[in-house]
Amino acid sequence: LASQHRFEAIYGEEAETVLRYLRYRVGPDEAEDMVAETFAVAWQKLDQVPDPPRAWLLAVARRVSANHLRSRRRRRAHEVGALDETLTTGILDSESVDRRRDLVTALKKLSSLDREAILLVTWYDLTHAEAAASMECSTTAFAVRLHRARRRLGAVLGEDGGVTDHHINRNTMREATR
Amino acid sequence: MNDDLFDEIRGLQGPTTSWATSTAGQHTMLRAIDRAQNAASSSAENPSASRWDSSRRRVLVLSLCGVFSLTAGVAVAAGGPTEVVRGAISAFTHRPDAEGHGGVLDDPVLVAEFRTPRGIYAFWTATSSTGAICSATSDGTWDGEGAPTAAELDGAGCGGEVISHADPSKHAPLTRLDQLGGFFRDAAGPLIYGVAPYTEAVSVHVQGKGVDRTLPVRADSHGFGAAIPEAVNTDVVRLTFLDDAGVELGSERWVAPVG
Repeated sequence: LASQHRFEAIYGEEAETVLRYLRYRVGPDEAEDMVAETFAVAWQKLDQVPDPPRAWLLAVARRVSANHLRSRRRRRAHEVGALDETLTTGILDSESVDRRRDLVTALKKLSSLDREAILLVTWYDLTHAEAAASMECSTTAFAVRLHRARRRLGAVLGEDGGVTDHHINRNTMREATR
Repeated sequence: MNDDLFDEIRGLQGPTTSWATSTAGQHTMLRAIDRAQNAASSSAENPSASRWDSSRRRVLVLSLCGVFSLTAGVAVAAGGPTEVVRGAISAFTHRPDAEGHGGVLDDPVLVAEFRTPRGIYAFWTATSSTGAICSATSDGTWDGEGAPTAAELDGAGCGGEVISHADPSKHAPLTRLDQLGGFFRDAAGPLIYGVAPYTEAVSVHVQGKGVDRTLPVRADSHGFGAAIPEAVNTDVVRLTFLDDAGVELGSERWVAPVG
């Protein structure tokens, strides 16, 4: 019963984040089914689910959706669709709408992996170490990817962004030692 | 990462929606558990599987301890739900190893019919001229259209023992209709069904942690029931029976069996 309670607690805390991630990856039609698939794995491997569980769950969701989406083109279509959905979120003034559109357009121009690196630390609030675990790479490799993705995003937006190599390196060291 | 651009990207997302505790979210959770159980069912050593199997069984087995019988393969007369249920109960009571009701069976009545993640859950009762109490269940196999076939009734039986609503560790001989049913948390999700102990009851208010809803009581069988996915975090609910003027007739504490 304690295991069941833990599973339910994890589900209550993280299911919506996993759903959002899967909506981004596979689209709204199949996201809930993939959530069920992800949490089925969590139920089976409950003893291995760490605390906090988010990065572990997103890694499972990533694998589940990767198995499901063999076509890169199809996956990109879902990702772009999820980004477009953000343009209709909330009530914004025209300046904010323009800025939001610019951001979405810039994110769309990134590669899938660069975009995912940025979204894992922003939309899903993962640390570098957690995001690295989710993308199944080292923390250092993730930090480098994120830095490059951030720089490309700034370039697409025509902004420097003020993020220096020194800043990223310091950040990388901090995350790597967690 | 402390970065204004990243903060802007964070702001692209809409507010959270409590999806996990919504009906859709709860159904998805139950689908996950069901899938895990199905995937692991071939492994008898898998603790998740055994934990879930025992939960799944309790809806049927503990409702009518020792007398509930699968009806698959039993031939019964065609007709409406009443005839099919009657046929299933009769077929059961004619088995050489069954106690039976030993008299004339009244027409079965529907106590509850509601949808769970597994499909339609339906429960019928029938009393006998000898005072025996019989029942039949369909758990996710009947689509709710027309009459169920015999194969779509998961169990039928008469008499036996039932668990106490207030203390599932206690069993008692089945002598009253309102002893049937219960509050269960199993593969079909939290669900509740039963027979009101008051003939004047028209509704029952169900309250518990995360649960606050009123269910109608059927006029014919005095039965009630519903899937209550919001009860996923509680093992105890309080039922308050009300008459048509909203006056409280009485209340009971129902505890979900464990294991």
